[in-house]
Amino acid sequence: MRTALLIPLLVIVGIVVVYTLRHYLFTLNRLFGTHRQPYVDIGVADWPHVSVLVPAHNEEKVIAGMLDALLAADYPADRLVIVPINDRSTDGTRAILDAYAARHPARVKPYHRTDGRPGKAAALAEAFPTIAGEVHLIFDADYLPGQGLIKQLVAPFFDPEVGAVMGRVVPLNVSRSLLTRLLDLERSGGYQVDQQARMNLDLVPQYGGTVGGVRRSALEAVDGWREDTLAEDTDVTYRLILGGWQVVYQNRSECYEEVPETWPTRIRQIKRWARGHNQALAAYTGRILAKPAHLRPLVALDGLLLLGVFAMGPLLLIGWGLATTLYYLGYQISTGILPILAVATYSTLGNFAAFFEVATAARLDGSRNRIRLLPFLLFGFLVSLTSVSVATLSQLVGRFRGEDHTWQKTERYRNGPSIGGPA
Amino acid sequence: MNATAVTIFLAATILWFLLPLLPAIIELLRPTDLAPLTVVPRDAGDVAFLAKGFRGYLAGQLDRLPAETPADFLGRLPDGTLFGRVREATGVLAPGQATVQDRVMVLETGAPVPGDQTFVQEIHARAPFLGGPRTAYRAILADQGATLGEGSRVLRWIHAAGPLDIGAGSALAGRASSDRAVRLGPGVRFDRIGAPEIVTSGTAPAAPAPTAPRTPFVPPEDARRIGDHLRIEADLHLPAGTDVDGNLVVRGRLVVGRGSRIRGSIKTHGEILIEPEVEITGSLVSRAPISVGQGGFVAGPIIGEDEVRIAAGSVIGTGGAPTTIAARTLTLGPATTIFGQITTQAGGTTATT
Repeated sequence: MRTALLIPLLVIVGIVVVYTLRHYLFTLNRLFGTHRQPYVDIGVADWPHVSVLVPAHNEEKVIAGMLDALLAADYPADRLVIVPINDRSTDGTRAILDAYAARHPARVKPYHRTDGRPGKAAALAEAFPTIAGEVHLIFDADYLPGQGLIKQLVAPFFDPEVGAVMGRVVPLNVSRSLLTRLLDLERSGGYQVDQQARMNLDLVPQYGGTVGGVRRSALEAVDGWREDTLAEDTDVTYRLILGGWQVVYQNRSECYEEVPETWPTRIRQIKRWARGHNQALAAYTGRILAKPAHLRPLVALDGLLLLGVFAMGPLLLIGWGLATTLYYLGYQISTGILPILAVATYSTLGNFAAFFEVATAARLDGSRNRIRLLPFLLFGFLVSLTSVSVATLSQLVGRFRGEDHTWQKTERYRNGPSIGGPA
Repeated sequence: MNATAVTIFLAATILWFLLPLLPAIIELLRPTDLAPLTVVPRDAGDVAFLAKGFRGYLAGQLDRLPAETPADFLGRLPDGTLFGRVREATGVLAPGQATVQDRVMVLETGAPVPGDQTFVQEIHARAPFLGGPRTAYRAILADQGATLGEGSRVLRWIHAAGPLDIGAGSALAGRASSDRAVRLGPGVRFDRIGAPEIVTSGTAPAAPAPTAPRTPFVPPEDARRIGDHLRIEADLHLPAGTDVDGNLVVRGRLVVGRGSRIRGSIKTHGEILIEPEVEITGSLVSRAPISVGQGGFVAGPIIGEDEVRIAAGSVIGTGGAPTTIAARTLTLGPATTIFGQITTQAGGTTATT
């Protein structure tokens, strides 16, 4: 009995240690390594034709601000088409889009969906064949791209190996609540350290579904967007990597977003991410382990670890349960495993943005006092841990029952600083 | 243990727990750092951004100067900055022993600036600017053309509305730009340059002898077609006169033979060695050194994460479709032309001969 419990515990401890080392490697890389941003200085070029896709489901609060920002972009007007994808909206979104299209018929070309499977992935999959442009950039409707952002995000596509690019997401409504302030810290760790370190080390930066884009021919080569996924961003990242393309991250290509202001919204969001990521985990683990010839071993390893980040929550809970059970069974864990688990758990609790990463990101960002809130991240991580575990469990149960998880829209606010961003 | 003791013990425990959280609690209750992170401003791609900012600053200050301020004036701007305006007199700029000028200067005269001077504040030249040899400048904004003498140094930026000529052996730290053209003498060191046309001094090589007809590229057997590019997992040597139609991604080292033509872009993970007279219609990308041979032409961006060398007589970009060279270090041979922009991380230089 004890052995049957101890072996899985040891496996979990091993996995936790690997993730801990990964966090430290990334963070130390950002502190002492070379910062790679090879494409960001391309300011002058013969720019390709670009379509900017903005999936929008009931976005009347924010869509006009987004379109205004895109219309003001510093990009040749005859090579930039804005394609808001009205995804079955029932509010005033359609009217707003049509009004913009009437005012800018050559530049704003809405795509209206009235039926079909709900969700961003399905919307992109349906609209993709109808949209021209060598590069497709994608923004969520609540984002506020700066004037230079389009060029910055397009520049990496001069590299013929690049299939997708990801920029940095910066929370705008930081001041709204403790949650928004914690998410601000978490985002810093995730982008400034985690994503940039993977870019520096030539590993697997993740295309994040917004503030980024794909090369149309690359997407075609990997069979386009899939509508049956909850995380089309993770899904397309792995199909591109497996297909021989590179995904690159640009830390200086920053864009403001609204983060969830209430815990229920945040919990729904992270559950959706977890389910989508777990879908990708199930779909692509085997293909990465089979390791296509072009995939370097370190890239394959990083790809596997990235796939597993949302599986760490349930694994940690299982590890705690096993350790507790063994203790009450009288097994004295005195061989050094417990301290390792304790230290590793402390460092890995947040999986994607652990404490060391967040503190380093705050330093790299030149932040001042917001880092004082670091201890409170523990609460955010505990909520994430629980939410991810519940989502994973319900996903497993649902899979046995043959249920189909539906996409849920994240609530919008647009009540933070003015649309133009901070002064 | 009585109730009071228990209460005290509990309170002490809670305080002990909260103590490390004290900074967090204070920041939560009395926020001091609530603003969103500042994103990179719109100047990211504009080489002349600092010059435009200085122009705006100076115009605001000069507007507030008393109307009766004399044409030649040494004093202070309204914000207290030491200031000098030279319109008629040449005393301020008279040649002599080396001096240090610590004023923001507005030069409305075309009189040459003597050599061996040091200007620790910005200069706004409203007439054609002619700098003497071995003079150091913090920054120069020239409304017309500007010429810097040999061995000059610019510490932050220089922008000229007209042609900008940089003398031999000069050093341009920061940004250098012109609305017309930048001409670089031999041995000039630079960081970042932007202009419709950037040329280096020297003589272009003689026109090449006519080459034999090009032969179509035959991909190696293990090459894979991925989307719109051909991927080769090893080194690749294209023979002279090869004609490639499409993009190439090479995992190893790439040698492009003399007189070849690539109608597409190239990305390698190893070194790129391009022999003379090669034409590339797309971009050139590598994490390893890139060398463009004599008389070469690259239409698209050159993105090098290591050293990039452009040999004599090469042309990068076109007048109608300017482009960018982004490299860790860059060496430009004689008589090279770049239409667009140069950005280096660790500096560039022109050949000394």
